[in-house]
Amino acid sequence: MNSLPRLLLICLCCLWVVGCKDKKKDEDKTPGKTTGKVKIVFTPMYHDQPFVAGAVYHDNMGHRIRVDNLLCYFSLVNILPVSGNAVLAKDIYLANFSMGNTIEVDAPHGSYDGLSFNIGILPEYNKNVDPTTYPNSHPLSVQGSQGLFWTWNTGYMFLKYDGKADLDGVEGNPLLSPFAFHVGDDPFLVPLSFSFPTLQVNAGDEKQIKIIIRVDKIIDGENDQINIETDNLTHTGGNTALAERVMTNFANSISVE
Amino acid sequence: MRSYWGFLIALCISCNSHTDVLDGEVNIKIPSWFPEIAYPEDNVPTKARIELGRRLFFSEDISAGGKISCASCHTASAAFTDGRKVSIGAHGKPGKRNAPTLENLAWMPYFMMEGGVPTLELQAIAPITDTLEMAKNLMVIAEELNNDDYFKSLSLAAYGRPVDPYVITRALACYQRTFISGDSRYDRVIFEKRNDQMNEEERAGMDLFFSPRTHCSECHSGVFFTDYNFYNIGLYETYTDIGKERENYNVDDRGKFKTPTLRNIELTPPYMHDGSISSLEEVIDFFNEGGKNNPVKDPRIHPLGLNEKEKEQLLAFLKCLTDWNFVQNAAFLPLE
Repeated sequence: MNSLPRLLLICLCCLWVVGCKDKKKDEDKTPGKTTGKVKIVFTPMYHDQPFVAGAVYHDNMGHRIRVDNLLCYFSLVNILPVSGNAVLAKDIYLANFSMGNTIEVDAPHGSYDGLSFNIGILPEYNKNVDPTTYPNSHPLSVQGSQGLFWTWNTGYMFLKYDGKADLDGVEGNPLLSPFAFHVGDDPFLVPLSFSFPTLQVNAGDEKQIKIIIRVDKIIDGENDQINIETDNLTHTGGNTALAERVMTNFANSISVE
Repeated sequence: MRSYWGFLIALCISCNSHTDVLDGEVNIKIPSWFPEIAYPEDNVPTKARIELGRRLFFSEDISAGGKISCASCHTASAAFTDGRKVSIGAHGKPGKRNAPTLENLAWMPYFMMEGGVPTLELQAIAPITDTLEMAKNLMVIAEELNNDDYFKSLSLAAYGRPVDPYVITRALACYQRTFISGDSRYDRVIFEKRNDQMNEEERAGMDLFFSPRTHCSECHSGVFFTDYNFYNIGLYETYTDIGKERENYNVDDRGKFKTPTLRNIELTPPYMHDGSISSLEEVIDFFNEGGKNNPVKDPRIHPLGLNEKEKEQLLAFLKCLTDWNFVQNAAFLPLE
């Protein structure tokens, strides 16, 4: 009496296993269904050297500056195939440039020649959200947001860039003058798109795309020099003009290769 | 769930003027002339939630250095203010604004003086983490409280999970929603028809308050004595705290702050967003003089021409908005 159900169960298990094997075989055979790994590596630089948070640098105006915090939200990070639909690498990513930042994505076999993302968080995830409802590992959670949640207004800072400076620029002087550029809110969302030479991704490949950030260009912008002696504080509200300048310089500091 | 609460509230309103909202164990008295409370679906009050919120509200462990609690700046006897121009934070530094009263928060549509925070739950994050206030990381607080068997078990009973930022913000909001004030002499006269509760001078003050001559009641309106809107009242010609503009970047909103309630106003000096006016008499003088010039000052702020007697009448009426039962309520004191 008891052996019949057991036999039935064993048969079902065998069928399931066989079914899975067949499916796997089909996947392997179908072009475009197999994936390779693409690593999107954020590479912050300061005057052509790797950026180090806490190190002392010089800006173009002769100030000595130490960047203590450089954090930024990126959203809808997509790699773009030569033809076909974009491949979502990350919906929301918080890059803390005190450490390494890499996004990994399994990309279908194919050719890719572009990358798109937003600096900042899409409005539906930015305003009127409650960070306490996200699991700790989520970049929008209390823990995961690393202090970028704006408690007085809800929403998140998109870019946090702050530290201290010696405005006299004398070696050995203490760095006593604070600067803080905290930029956020929906109007400051910046969509960016880059193209690069075609990258062929085959099954099992591991390829890399670099997002270069010229941290020095946030202050020493190509078209806009920010003088931290006079323009050293924005929490966006209260100094939206400076927030806009900082965000524009930051967006212009980014390239992809 | 909400309709169930609505039914219970309606049932209670039909029974007496001070109604009881029941959820099995919780009894929250709401004056019948107040609207129904729309509790968040995930934070309907229970005994455990209110008790946890109360413990947290009075806990100094939720501030850096363990020296201040919510109650340090929001003391019940002062209608949940602290009598200071601006409060002193955990690191001994002054804050930027005058501590607001915490009353009838269950009906407040948004929080902070520029109205940028949509829920009482979210509001709790601001003072806890602000470096000029309690200056403590919510994750650290959660970790520490979970090491306390009492807090951990209370959290599990209240929300079915150990202490975390979600629990902390919910419990604090749940407790603060019990801060209901609607038993002033004004309430007794207007809503309970107990005419002996106000004298002639106070009634004259009430007439002035609600008259188009003063415009007071146009912003300090409704049962909560606020329209929750934002106005520049000409406190300064140039504002260092830009108020609503900080939230919406609109220069036309510079120096605009949310209309505060006037309930218990007698107990909450000093006044204005920065505590710059020390007494209620001076506030009346300020409005009587029409404020300072400011390009976005509300047009209703202009010299009122009140004489000394009228100012005294207005002051007498404002004192009728004090709810002594509210500020002496034992439920707003720390648990043993």
